[in-house]
Amino acid sequence: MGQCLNKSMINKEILEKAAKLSMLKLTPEQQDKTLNEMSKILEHFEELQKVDTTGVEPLHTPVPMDNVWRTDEISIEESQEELKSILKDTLEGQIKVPQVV
Amino acid sequence: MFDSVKDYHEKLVSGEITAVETVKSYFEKIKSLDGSINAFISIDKEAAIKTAEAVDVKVKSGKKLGLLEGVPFSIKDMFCTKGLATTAGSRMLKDFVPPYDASVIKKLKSQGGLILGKANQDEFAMGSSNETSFFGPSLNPWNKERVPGGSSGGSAASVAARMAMCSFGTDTGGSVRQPAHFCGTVGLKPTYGRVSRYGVVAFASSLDQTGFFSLKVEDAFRTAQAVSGKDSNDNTTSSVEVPDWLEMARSFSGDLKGKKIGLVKEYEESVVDAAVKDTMDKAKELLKSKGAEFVEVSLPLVKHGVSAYYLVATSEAASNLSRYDGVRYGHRSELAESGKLSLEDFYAQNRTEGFGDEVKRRILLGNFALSSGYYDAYYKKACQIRSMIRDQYMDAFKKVDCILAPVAASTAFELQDRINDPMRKFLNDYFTVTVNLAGLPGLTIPIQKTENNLPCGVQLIANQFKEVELFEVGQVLENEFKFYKEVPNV
Repeated sequence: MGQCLNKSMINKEILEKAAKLSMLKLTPEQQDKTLNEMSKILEHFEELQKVDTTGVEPLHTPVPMDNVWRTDEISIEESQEELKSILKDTLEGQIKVPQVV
Repeated sequence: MFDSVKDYHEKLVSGEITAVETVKSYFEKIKSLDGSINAFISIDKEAAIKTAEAVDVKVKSGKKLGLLEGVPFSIKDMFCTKGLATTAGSRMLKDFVPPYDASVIKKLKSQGGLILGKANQDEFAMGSSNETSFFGPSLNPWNKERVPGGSSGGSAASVAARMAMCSFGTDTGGSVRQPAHFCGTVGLKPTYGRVSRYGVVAFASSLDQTGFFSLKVEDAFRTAQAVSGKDSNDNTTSSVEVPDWLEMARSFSGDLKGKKIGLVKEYEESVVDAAVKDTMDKAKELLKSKGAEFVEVSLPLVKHGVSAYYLVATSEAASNLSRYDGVRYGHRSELAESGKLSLEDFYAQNRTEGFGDEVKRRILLGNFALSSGYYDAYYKKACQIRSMIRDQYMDAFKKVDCILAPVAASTAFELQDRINDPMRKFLNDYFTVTVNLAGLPGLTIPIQKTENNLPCGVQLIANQFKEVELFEVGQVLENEFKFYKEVPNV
């Protein structure tokens, strides 16, 4: 890995990038608070770097999986009308959203 | 109110009571207690009574009862219930009424189960005290200055206070086992892949598992029996056969001779409150007297479990929760309706208003851990350590049939105690999170009441798909301590 991580790894700039990726807005006060909290958390996470994981395959799902097969047939469990019932607004069967451009 | 479904069914069949009367008595209880406990986000009286009427007709006709026939459930608000709001405890989904049932809800209904209402929880199941709920915290029925635990706090509180006979929760890092311990109920988290997650609001998909609350061990397994198994809508469900746990229970002698129970060196050396230590000691003594042999096992990496868990969980959450943008459904800001925001600002405004602080913190942490330049050092590293933790558990299960451990280092803590110190709150999950990392089944068994009138339980952990070990040892503990006889004075 060769990367040295420490709590200074998180700063305002990095937090702003994470907020942008997260599609979240933070006020300056929230930024300060979050920086403080994340520094503490990351400081704790730092301990993981001490574990030698050379050659270990990352585990993404804990139990053996097998594929689910089914015949290629159309099955309709919910009607389009039912599914559309959760939409905020529709127009002629399409999802209607406010103007964004 | 009934301690067990078996007793309830016997009285239904003998005609001593009806399902409608029973359900009405649960609604009465909710009416009188839930003003102070806040275990429910919504109730659905009309549908529950209608289902109960159908149950009574079925009982009179002499037809065989379903496993959950007429059983009144509270359902954590993470499970999609057709026509009944499913909020995940969040402003984001405050008005979301699903057009379909989660697979487990379909199965619950097909076995005659009925839904009293939706249980309170931490927002998107992120929390261990129920305090992050948009609908206000649920309180512990044993002591209202204390939290019921979380994230499935409302589920545990409703069963403990006899406002529901059984309940569904979800357990991503202990969210069934810990509230069960805090509220004095049984809490079962089956093996990852035993139970379908289709239609369950996703938090961290490789860790999330549906779990069950009840007063008696048998009923948690009865519920698991009814809803487990392969689901073509969830390719992470396993094709490993679901055993007949209820039949196994009937034939189990109660003798633990030859049973090897592991004590984890690292857990045994951890600092826990006196109440937890005393409870562990009592459980050990009893199991020993029933013939069990204790074997020490070592899991050196569990000390990194919390860090690895929170990296995996927040990374998956950041990805799962990206779907909430206010376009099709979910919270949409009034500002966004103005038509004056750019597309990016439109998404951000909806999300910033819709999510609470804890959820935002975890999304930020997750996106940070997944972002370029940090992925290898955080997310990948955590997944590698996860693999090593699972292997250490697998090695331990070559020597033992199951593991006995505390559920948490303390009994229920006070409200506001840990809300402002996220790392301390995370560390609270030390004894539960590695079970999810390794995909193992776990069970909380309430043992005794300790100081401040608070219940205290122990945790049993077994190898993947070996829930039966939990059943047997749990049953032995329950037969001795009979905590289901204790009723909180709310």
